[in-house]
Amino acid sequence: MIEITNLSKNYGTKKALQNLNLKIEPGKIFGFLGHNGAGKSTTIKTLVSIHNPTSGTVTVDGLDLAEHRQEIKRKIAYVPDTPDIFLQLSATEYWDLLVAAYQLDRDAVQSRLQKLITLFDMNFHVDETLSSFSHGMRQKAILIGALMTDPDIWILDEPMQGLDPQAAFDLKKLMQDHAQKGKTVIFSTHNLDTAEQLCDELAILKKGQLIYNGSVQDLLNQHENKTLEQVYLEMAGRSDSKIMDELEGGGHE
Amino acid sequence: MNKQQLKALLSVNLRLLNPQATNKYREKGKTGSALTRRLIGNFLFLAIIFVLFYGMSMMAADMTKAPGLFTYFVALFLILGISQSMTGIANVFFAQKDLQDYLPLPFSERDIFASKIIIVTINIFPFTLPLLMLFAITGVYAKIPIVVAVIMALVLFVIITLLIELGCTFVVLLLSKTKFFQKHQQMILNILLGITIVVAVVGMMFLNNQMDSGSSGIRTFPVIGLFAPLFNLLVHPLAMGSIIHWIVLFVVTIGLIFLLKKSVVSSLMSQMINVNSNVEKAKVKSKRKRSTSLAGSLRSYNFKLLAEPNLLIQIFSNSILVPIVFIFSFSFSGISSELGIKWLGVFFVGGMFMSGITMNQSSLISNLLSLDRDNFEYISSLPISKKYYLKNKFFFGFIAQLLINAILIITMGFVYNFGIVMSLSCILGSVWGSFLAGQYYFYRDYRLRLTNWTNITELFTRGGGNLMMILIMFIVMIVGLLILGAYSFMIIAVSKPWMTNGVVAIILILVSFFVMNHYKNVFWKFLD
Repeated sequence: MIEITNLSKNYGTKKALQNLNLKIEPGKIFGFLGHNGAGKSTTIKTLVSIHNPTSGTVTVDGLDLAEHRQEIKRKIAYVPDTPDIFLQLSATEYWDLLVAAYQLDRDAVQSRLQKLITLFDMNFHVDETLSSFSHGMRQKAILIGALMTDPDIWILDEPMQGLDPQAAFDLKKLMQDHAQKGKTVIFSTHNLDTAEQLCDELAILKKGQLIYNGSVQDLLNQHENKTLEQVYLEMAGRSDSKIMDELEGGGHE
Repeated sequence: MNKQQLKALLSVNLRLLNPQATNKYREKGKTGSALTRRLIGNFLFLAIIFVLFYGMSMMAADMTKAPGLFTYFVALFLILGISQSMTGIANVFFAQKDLQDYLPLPFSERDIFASKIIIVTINIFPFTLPLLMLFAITGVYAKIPIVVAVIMALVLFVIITLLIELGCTFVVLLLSKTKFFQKHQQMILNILLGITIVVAVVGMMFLNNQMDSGSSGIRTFPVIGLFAPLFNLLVHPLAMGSIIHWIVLFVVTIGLIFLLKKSVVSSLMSQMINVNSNVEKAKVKSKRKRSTSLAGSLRSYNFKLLAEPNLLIQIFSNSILVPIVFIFSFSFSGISSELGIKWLGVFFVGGMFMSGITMNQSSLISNLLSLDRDNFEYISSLPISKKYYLKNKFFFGFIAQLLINAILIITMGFVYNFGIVMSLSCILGSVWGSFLAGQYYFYRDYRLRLTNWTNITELFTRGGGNLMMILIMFIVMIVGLLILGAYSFMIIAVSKPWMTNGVVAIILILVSFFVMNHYKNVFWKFLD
């Protein structure tokens, strides 16, 4: 279980995250929703040790992240919000790097890796550099790397971005299977349909603060006859629609 | 240390160190460990050529009879090694963006640290390898059996390199532990690197002023006390004093390794996360006025490309520091301040060669296009002439290079007493030389354009890397000295110097016409 307690993160004077408290249970798909700059990626980057919190704690299976980073990192597979990493490496070289990082046996992961390569239709590109890939193919290569290592916790920051419909469908299926095995899947998304379809539990962030935490169904039950998009926009969206009216009604003046 | 992790990290870093060679071997079908082996082989080959080249040039002097010259060379290459290490460490640990890609992965701190330090060491080899040659040749001249002399030189070289690397790492990483550093990382690094370079330049000026020109015109050097023990270690290795110095060197090195392990390596990752966390959202406010013209906007854009923290420092150090070392270590006589007008041409040609030495693959003009990253392709989609865009960029880099050359020539003018007229002729020569050499390096950047670099060093190491840079500098300098020597001889020997100057002027015009015509045909005319 992941437990986030009073987590805050400041960038200079800007408060990116304020007193976030969350419990993420295994066996569930947990989604982060929020506008750009709401604090989704900051939370995720703190969970995967890219950022240090300004205050607060994170524990994973009872281990404090600040004190057991290496141990916790081995439990986590992470997909960043942008796939533009290790661009000079070929896809195979990138996966080899992960094998070494997680201290896995290359032969032991080979069969799973090959299945993932085939699933994401990357067979003919494994020796090409990531820099030569399109955005979607880079995303696939990064996803394959993360899923190949197959630790208990998957943390995926906007993982569907750039994926073709088939790959997106396959990834959703893999996420569901992983959760059904009693493991944890955390992801962030701007796509409300995906969130509604996948999430067992949601956290909605607005300007660094948690404004909702619970199941999608509970949220919809609280707002009868409304779609998730309507509910989300009511909670996290713009309160003043004047600017839109101005744009539509001759904003070029 | 985990061998599997260290090996994987070194493989990645080797590829980052020389992306151009990596791509070349990939195109030939090399992947994985075969590619890694080729990259190591490539580096070793260049290193051997470089060692032979340097060794031959040092072989001429019997260092055992010139302890002053020995200590002078040690000081010179130590200064260069330290300044390059500082820049390299700052680059690899702070400016290089790949370090944060390792943060979420379960790599051990020691292995990340070791892989980065090994890469910094490899990268500064061209600046420290002369020390190895110096040590070996001194030992051989001291009539110590050749195998023993080489082993001693190797051990001493490894110790000195370790002391440079560990000392610099200690300073930079210890500093980065402070809260003040984490808040003002870029400013502090720039100040630190700036100080390093100023100290290096002042140190070299000081060293140069220490030399005496004897009656024979050959420079002699007083022994620098601090480095005299190194001389004795190699010449009298079994003397009691030398044995004590060997022990001291070993103890200091091991002590530094232990200290570094305890105070820096053990908290490297959390320190990196701290630095990373605090600079992530730093905002830079532009103080420049908004420009309404295209030329003004492009100029302003080009200025902003220079905002990479270590870029300016690296350009400055490679364009000024390295040439200064070479010029000072290979110029053996002073110049009279009362030279007649007939020498103007010699100084003009001297200025041209100076620009050939100061302009290299690390110069601004040689990297300006790659600094664009993906913007270059995007700009191609805009309704502006590509030729206009590139010309604007070329002249921006050209003017930056002129400023660097002018500073260097004025400094040399003071040191060597050129006089104003000769200095001006030299500056004019460097203007023209920079223009011609700039054509080559600008076109080279266009050919080898790299848009997905993560670390500025990747741009500098395109092609043959630092080793090739130093070799080219060597060749330009030797060819330059030969031509200048021949030109000077003709000025003195021929009774009508205007004839010699006239012939040289015609040759210069022809060469310039050839160079400009060549780049017009292979590059500029294809742009629109």
